[in-house]
Amino acid sequence: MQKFPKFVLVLAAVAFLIPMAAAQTIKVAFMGPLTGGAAFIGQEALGFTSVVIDAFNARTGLNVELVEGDTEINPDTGRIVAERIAGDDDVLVVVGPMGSQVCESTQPVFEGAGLAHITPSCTNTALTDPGTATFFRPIPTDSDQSQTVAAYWLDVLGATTFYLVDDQSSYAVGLNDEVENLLLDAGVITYTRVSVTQDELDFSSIATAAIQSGAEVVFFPNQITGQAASLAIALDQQGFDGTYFLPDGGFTLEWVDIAGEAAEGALVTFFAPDPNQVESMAPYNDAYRAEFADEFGAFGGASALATFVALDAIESCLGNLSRSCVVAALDSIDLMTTPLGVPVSFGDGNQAAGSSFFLFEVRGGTFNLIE
Amino acid sequence: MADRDPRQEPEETHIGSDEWVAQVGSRRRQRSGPLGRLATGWEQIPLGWRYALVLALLIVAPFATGSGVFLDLIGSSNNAFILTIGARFLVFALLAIGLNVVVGYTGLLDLGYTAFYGLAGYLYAYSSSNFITTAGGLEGVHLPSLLAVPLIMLATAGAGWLIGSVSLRLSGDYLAIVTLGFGQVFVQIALTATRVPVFWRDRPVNFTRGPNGINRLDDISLFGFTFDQTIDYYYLLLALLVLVFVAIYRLNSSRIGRAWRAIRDDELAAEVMGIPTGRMKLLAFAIGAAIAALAGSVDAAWQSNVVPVPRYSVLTLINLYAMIVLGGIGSLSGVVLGAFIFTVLPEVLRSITLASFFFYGFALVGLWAVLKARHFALVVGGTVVGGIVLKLLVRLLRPSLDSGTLDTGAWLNRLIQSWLIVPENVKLAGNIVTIVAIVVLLAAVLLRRRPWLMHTLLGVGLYLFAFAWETRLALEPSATRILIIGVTLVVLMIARPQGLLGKPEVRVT
Amino acid sequence: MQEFLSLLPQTLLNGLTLGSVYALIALGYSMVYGILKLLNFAHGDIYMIGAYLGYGVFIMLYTEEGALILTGLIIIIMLAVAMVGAGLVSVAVERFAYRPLRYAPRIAPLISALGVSFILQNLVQITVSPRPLSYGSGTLIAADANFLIGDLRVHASRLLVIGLTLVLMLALTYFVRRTRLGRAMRAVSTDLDAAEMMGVNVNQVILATFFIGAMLAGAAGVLVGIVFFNIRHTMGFIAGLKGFTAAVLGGIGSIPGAVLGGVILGMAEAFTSVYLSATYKDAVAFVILVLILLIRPRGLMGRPLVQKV
Repeated sequence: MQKFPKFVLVLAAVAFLIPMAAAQTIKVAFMGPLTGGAAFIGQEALGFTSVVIDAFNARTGLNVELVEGDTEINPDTGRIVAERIAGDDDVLVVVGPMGSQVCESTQPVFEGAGLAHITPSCTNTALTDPGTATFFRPIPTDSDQSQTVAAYWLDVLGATTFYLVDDQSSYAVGLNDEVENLLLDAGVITYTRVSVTQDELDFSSIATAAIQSGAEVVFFPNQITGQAASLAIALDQQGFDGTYFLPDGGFTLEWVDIAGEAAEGALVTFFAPDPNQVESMAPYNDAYRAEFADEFGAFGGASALATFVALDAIESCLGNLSRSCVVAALDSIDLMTTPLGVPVSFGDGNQAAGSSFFLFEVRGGTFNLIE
Repeated sequence: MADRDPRQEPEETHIGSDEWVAQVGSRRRQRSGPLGRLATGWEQIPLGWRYALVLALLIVAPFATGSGVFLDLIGSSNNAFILTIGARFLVFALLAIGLNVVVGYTGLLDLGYTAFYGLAGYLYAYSSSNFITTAGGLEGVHLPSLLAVPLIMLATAGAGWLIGSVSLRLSGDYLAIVTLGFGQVFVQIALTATRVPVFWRDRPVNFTRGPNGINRLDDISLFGFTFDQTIDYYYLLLALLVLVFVAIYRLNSSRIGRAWRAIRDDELAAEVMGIPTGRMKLLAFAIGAAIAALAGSVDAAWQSNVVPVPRYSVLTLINLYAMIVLGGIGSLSGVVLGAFIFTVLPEVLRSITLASFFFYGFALVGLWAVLKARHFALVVGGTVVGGIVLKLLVRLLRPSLDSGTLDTGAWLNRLIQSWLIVPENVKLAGNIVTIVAIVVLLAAVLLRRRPWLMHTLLGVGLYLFAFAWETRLALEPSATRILIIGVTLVVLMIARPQGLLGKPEVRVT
Repeated sequence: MQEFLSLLPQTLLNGLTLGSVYALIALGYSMVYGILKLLNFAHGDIYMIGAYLGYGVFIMLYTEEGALILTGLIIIIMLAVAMVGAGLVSVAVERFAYRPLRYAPRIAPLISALGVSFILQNLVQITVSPRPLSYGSGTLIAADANFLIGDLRVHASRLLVIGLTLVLMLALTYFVRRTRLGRAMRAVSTDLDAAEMMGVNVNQVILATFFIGAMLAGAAGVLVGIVFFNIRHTMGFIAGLKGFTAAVLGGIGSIPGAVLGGVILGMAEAFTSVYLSATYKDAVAFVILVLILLIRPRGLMGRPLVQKV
């Protein structure tokens, strides 16, 4: 037992020497939920970020390193992770965070550090209104989406009764709040709102209540794809004959596969294509499948988009690698297209300019663009 | 060790206690080894000096961690995140002290404690932000902190009293479930009270902003000084912690404290002795809630927001319970230590390099602790030599089995990878080996009566764990981090069921 | 009233399905508590393990063009593997995380249970997938396999859940009442020390209790996958809370109480969702719990506590 303290001392010394030995490198940080209930969303996004960076390194010969930060979709944890990332001078840009409440708590940290962060999933409208100098959002907002959705319901479907369900995520509640206000503005009062947790398994009673309310549209913003399937099946089993409508969170074939027949005829909105359906994404999709041996959906596409933008900014700053240069490069970025097939440029409050929503219908087990 | 119950340890008298407790004194003297010597040395410092030393460390910590030498060591350009972790530790330490009053002193299993923390947060948001605006053009409510915080503490203590009185009829686990329900309902209300129909407006009113919470709260401001930096809050919270610590310490050594412990140890006997058990329990509830309110309102001001999930949810509650049980339930400095470990350890494990050292260090130290020195050398040496021989054999006979590549991590990882067989489908092999390694290790524990078999299994297990770590666990740092915390909890609980600074419970059967 | 009646059959069906699942989980809680006075907070994760074991079997055996007999067989194998597997995991948890703490302060096993829960969840996340998974709908049981009872369409999967729960309850009751081991269990539950002195092998009885409770939870995991279509590695947490609530509601330690508590909880949630709003179902379930506990502090079927002095 005599050697024990020496052993511990050596171990401790070595542990602290490791970071000193690290050489100067370019780092891109990723922030998202990597454990817990929303882990699959974060893991999918992280996977796509890593695949896109690998391809970038192969093409440019650079050695961009990926650092990951698990926010547990908790704003308090997110803040510590953000401070940690901001303290590492090698980090030039952040892909993330995910989840509007985390974006909210990290905005001041990154603004103070002058570190650009590009979110692939925070859609809360207030984040870019007014926004900060370093927060960039290449995707449209809740306000854009709710207007698209409400206009379609009222003008095209001519529906008058609605059943709005949310999963108590800040995303779903924020979106339903905006939709509800639009409905009230249009004079619609025949709607019902309910809210269930992300751990809800049984949707049969909600389906019963929705059908009973006479709703022509059932709208369910959610992040857990299995829940979208569960509600679809429950509605189908009890003979619902209206429209099942999902916003961007439902743009993944996973729930369609699970729900099978019950998903047919459902409508889904999304701002960017599913990477599975874009030809120019094929190399990234293949790389993801090879590395992670797992399926993926729309969250991966959005995070790939944010990573493309981030790397583009880094590439244009190669002579002058600094955080301020990356922020400036992002401010003036104007991509006509990305491998995901959508153009990117940032306008007021660093909100992506002119991004809009597409509407898809589920037919034959896949998404078909209808407008 | 005298900072807990002021009751004296029974030294040599064995009356009224069981044998195990009676031997505490002699077993404590037996404590040997470097850690034991360290602990003994620590105990030889007078109590007051020990507290002063810890306090001094906490006071200089922000400067020490902000120095260039330290920042170079951790490879960061500033210590902002360390300050944040520090402030968070202080918030949790306050909460843990409050919870300890209810659970540790009075023995009431209160699973709704985080509701008080949350209630205070929301009350602070209502009283110190622009959230409440009326048609009259009132720009929010902004009470001075010196008024707002005591009022919130009073109101929350009232809520504690109320919930306590509803639950008074229940005991033990029934109390636990009812208070858990209160906590859950609080979070549900915070999440869903976003469109409450009210008589004074035609549109529903948003009381809580649901999962997005309420933002841009005022900073705490005292005598003209506004606390707006994390470091300001760090010192404010530290001062509050010292105040609350001393207050509760003194309270616990008073008549009230003795009454609480009497209720915890035997409620019926306490009642017979004329202690007003009902009122004492309610007092514990109220004091616990008031401390939670203090932590909750300062925390809300520091974070500048209130967010219901997960800050006020059952996840935080679990964290708090882990802290107080791990640190030693009923021991004031124990629960503070628990809070420290439980806020710092998860952050240290965020770095996978450090987590690797922790993992291999933990494995080696663990083996060192349970094995004799020569057996330890045999198992570790045997594993490494066996691994190298195995690798050479496979290279010679079946090269196709060892065709994958790893090349990840720091030098330690690469060193270990050099004597591991790496098959083609690394991920699948890693997944299977992770499970097999656990089974082998558990089997080794079961077979500890058969030294040869056990040592072989330990060696094999060590090899498999190294493989699992390098192929899977180190590549999933976030999930692995929680995994390590889980293992630490189980191991620590088994090693010290009474917690790190806790005192063994006297069981009278 | 008209509306109330027209919705009643569907609501009862919803409540009964959900209640069956809660009952299966609550039983494991209640049995373990009855013997050790231990709140087994890792029980929910055992149920999750059951669901994932069922998924493993499903992935290995399921083919699209399987005959009805074959899918029936697959369901039986899924249940068998999940029940035995969950049982083994639970026994291991008892042996390594609870037994060393049997005479420790009562709150210590709660924390080691928490550690176990962390370990199980994150092992599944690492070795299987963080994604929610599904046995799919219309795979094992055709999507249109409905039985018509009056106007009510009852899907075969719901009959499976309710029927199997009933069978398992009867088997459990028979086991506890009529077999030697069952009698030993009751003896240990009444007085652990006395039973030990009478020659009952207490460790064996405790292991058996954990194994049987976990088997029921494992079956619940598979049934949930079949009837509600999605499984996640974090599903155990809420399920554990619900099972715990159901067990307390019925009187913790009592087997018929656990079943009754599960069904009441399921019904309360279904009725609130249909007639009031799904938003308040957890709150309403809780209010019912508090009311029942205020009237009967030991739960519906709990034995009144006789305090020994």
